[in-house]
Amino acid sequence: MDLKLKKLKLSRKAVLFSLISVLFSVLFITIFSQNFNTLYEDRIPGSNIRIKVIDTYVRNFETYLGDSTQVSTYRTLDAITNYSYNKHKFFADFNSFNKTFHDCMICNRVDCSNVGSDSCGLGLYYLDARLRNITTLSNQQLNINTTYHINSISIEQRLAFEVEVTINISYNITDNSDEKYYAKWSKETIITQPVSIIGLLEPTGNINDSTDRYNRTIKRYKGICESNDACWNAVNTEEFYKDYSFRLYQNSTSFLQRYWNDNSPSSCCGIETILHPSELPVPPDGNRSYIEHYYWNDAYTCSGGKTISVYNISYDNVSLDSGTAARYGLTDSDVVGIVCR
Amino acid sequence: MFKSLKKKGYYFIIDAFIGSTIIFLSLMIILNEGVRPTKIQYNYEMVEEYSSFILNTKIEEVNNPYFTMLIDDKRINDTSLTIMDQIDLFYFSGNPGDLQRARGMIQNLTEQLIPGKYGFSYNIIDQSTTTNIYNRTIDTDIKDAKLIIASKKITFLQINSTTMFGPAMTEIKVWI
Repeated sequence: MDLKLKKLKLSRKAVLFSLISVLFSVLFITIFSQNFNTLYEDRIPGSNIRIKVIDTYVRNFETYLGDSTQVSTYRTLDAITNYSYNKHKFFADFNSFNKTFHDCMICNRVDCSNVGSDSCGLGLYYLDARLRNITTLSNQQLNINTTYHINSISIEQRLAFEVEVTINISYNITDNSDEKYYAKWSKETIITQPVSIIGLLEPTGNINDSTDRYNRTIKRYKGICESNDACWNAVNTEEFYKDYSFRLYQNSTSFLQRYWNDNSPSSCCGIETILHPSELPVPPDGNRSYIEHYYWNDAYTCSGGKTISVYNISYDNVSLDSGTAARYGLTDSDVVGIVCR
Repeated sequence: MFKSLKKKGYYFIIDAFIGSTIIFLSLMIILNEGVRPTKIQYNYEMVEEYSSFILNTKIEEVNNPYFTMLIDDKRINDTSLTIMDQIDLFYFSGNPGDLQRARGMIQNLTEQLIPGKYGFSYNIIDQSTTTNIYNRTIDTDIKDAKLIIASKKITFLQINSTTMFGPAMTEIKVWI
C-alpha cells in the first residue's frame, strides 16, 4: 500500500515536470519565433532579386533620361540652326522657337502635328527615340515593361555659355514576369539638365549669312580679361580676336535670343565676339561695326549715325564703332582709317 | 525518504531542462534547414552583388594596382566614372589596346571577388552583337556546367555633347 502511494506521488510529479518541460519549450519558441519569421521572409529569393534588378533599372532610367536629354538638346539646337539657315528665317518669338525645339525633341519634325512637316535631321538622337531604345531593350532583355509620357519640354538660359532644359515626364515601370505586377514603379518627375553651348554654331550670323563663309561656333574666351572689363587694351584685344572666342557682355544678346533675332540686352547671358573679315561676305561691309551681333543686325553702321573706324588687329582691317573701340581699350594710334564719323 | 524524493526532484528538473533543450534544438535544426539559402540563391546573389559593384563603384573608390597604373599612364582620365562606365569607354573606342585594358580591369577585380572554382564571363551586348571582354575558364566548360547564373544590366555612357554609347547590355555569367 505504501509502495503504491509512493509510485502514485512520483508519477504525479513526473506529469508536473513534463508540464514544466513543455512550458520551457513554449517559452524558448516564443522568444526565438521572431527570428524565424525574419529569416523566413529572406527565403523568397526570386522576388527579392527581381525587385533589386528592377530597382537598379529604375535608377538607370532616370540617369539615362538626363544624359539623353543633354545629347538630344545639343543636337536639336544644332539642327534648328541648320534648319533656320536653310530657310534664312528667324523664329517669330520665343514661343515659336520653343515649340519647334519641343517638336524636334519629341518627333524629329519641326511640327509634330503635321506628318509632312520638315525633318529636324536628328536621326535616332531625338529624345523620344532615345527613350524607346531603352524601353525596347529592357523589355527584350530584362522582361521589364516601361511606359512613359513626356508632359512638357522647355528651354531657357540662365548662364552665358549653357542652356537649361526642363522635362516633365510620367512613367510606369512594371515587371512583365508576373501578371499581378508585384513590382511597379509609377512616377511623375521633372528633370532639369544644363547643356553647354560650346561648339554650337552661332545662330544670328549663320541664319543671316548666305555665302557659307560664316561658320563661327561658340567658344568661350578664357583670357586675362574674362572677368575684368577694365583690363582691355590693344594686346588683349588682339589675343581675343585671334582666339575666335565669345565673351560675356551684359549689353549683348544671349545665345537663345539669337534664334528669334531678339537684340535686347541679356544681363545674365549676353555674349559677343569680334568678326574676322575672312568670314564675312566678299567684300565685307566696312560701314558696319565688326562686333558680331552689331554687324548682322545693322545696329552700328555709318547710316545709323555711328563713327566707324578701321583698326589694325593682328594685321587685319577691322571696322569698329568708337564706343566698342573704347570698351576694348583701342586708341587713335590703333586706327588705320576712318570710314565715317 | 524525503532526501530520496528531493534527489529525484532535482533529477526531474534537470530532466525537464534536457527535454526542453532537445525539443528546442530539434526545432531550431528543422527550421534552419529551411532558412539557409539554397546554393542557387547564394550564387545568384553573388553575381548580382558583383554586377552592382561594377555598376556603382567609382574608379576613385577602388584601390587596385592595375587601376592605379592605368591612371598614372593617363589611360584613365576621369576617375569619377564607375568601373562599368570605364569598361564601356574602352569598348566604345574600339581600340584593341583599350579592349585589353578593359579585360585587365575585369580580370583584376574578378580574381579578388569571385572564387576560383567558378567560371566567369563579362560580355557587352550592343545591338545584338556580343563582345566578350573577359572570360575565365574552369575545368567545366560553360556548355557542360551544372549551374549557370547570369546578371544583366543596362549600360550607357555620354561620350561627349553629341555622342552617347548605348543603351547596351552588360551580361555577367558565372558557372560551376
